[in-house]
Amino acid sequence: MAAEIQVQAGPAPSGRGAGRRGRSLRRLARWVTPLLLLAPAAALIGWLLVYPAVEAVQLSFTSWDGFTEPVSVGFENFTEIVHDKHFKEALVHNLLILASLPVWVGVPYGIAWALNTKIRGWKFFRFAFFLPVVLSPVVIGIYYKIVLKSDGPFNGLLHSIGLGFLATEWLNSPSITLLVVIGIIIWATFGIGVLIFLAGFSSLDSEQIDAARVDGASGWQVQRHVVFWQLLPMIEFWTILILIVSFTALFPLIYTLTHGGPGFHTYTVDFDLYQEAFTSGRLGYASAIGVVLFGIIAVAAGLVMGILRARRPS
Amino acid sequence: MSAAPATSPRHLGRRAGRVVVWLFLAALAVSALYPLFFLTATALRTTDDYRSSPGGLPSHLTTDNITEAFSVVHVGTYALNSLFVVVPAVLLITVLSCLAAYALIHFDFPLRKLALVLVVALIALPPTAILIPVFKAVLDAGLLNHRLGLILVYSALYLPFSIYLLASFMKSVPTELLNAARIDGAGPLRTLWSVVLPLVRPGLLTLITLNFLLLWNEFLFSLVILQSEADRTIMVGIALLQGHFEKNFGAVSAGLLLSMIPPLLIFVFFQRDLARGLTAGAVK
Repeated sequence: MAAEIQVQAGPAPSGRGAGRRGRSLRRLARWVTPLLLLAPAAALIGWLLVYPAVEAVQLSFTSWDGFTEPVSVGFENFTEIVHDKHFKEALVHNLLILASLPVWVGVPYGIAWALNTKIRGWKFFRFAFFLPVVLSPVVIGIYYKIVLKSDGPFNGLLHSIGLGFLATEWLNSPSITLLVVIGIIIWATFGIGVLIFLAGFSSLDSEQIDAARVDGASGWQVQRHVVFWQLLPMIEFWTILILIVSFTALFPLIYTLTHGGPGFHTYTVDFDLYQEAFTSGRLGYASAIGVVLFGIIAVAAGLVMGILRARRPS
Repeated sequence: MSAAPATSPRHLGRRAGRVVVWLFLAALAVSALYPLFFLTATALRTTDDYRSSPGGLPSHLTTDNITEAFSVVHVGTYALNSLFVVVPAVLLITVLSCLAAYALIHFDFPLRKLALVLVVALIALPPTAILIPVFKAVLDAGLLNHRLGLILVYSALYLPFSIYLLASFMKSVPTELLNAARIDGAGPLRTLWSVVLPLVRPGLLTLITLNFLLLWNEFLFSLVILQSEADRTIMVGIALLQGHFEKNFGAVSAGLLLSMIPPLLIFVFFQRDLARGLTAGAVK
């Protein structure tokens, strides 16, 4: 093994018969360089990423206010989570947001397909769709908070085009605000999906498509039976990304747009975690929420990959 | 264009379909670009003028909002605070991920494969889930409310993806070149600097723009780790200004616009590099 590696990466072999000890010493010296190169990044990752991931579990069994030392409380936090009304509501909201997945995947897929047909102005569209991608969720949240005010521009637009009857309190109505939030989340992220699928469309295997055409497949059949399967890896990647975003990256948007309201109607799990930790000062409990959150994402990601992989044709 | 097939019903149907698709894309493009117009217009008009037609063109221009954004809202200070955190963090991430990716791709050592797997696994670790223990680690190190604390946290959070991205670029550097450099007597760092890095320049550019954008826009960890008002970064600063809303949308819009300058520069000049970074995981 060592010899192969030497050809690939190590210094040119000296060929002198330095003996067993010399060789193993030299091998040790060869290991020192990469380990030294790796050390700073590994130290930082270990300290602020790996160790916290382990400690998250430890803290989830404690009661901690952030000032005194954490006190062990056994499984108390987890039994509380099971009965926590706000947490359960938040989880339902996250699942509802996740239920919009077909739109979340389908819209960018369709747009990328349309852009790939070089529809008139496709370059401009591709450029424009990228703007929401670079905006901070904080900016998006505040922007939509202003635009969707009851006397704001959006209702103004509805009135001026004769759809005034649709005007409503977009961010202050228990029944529709979550839908508005879902719409904004999709608006904020679809540009990334378009990019991913465009990259997929431009790297399609044209031989397979031509072969399908020669065999008499219609345009739709080619889409469904050839293109779709070739893009499956991108669909899978985008789905996992959405999964992670929809459970852990909504905080800044919720914080600025609705602050969880009206009431608790747009609470999400990550928003609940922050509130428990830094508004109620219950950091041990919040850590338990974090652990549960991680478990949910891991299970959901496993399910998604299982479903998508199982449906792949042999 | 040609007259004969255009009259067939099937062709007309397809044309109509294309028009509908085009209108949808156009509406979406307008909604994507409208924030830029709306915030610029609102920042430049008086409050009364805004109230008269909130989404439309301004008729009474003013620069008062911009002045107020700097003097009352302190967006200038917040922006500087952000730069003091983001620039060192991006530099640190870039240097550390260059070294690490170089070690992982062009050297061999025990557990190298495991290290690569660990890097990929850590990308999937959602930062929010470990917010509390990260907060505790920073607190225990006495770095809470210190910029250094946030710089180090940002670096740790974004290192795995950065290493992964750079490693995928470094894979394409031919080993013969490295061996040639070694035979010429160049040490490992010299080889990295003069042989490897010039060849992965597009990857570096992608990495720097992407990290700069993500860190500039980051909110949660900044909110939790830099709690004192004097150190607030731009996103925390403008998010905590909710009270100003009812009084003056103009100043808020001016602040939002200022906070959008770096993202907009990246949007206009580095879109291609950023796109490469965002799709790196999907295509490779």
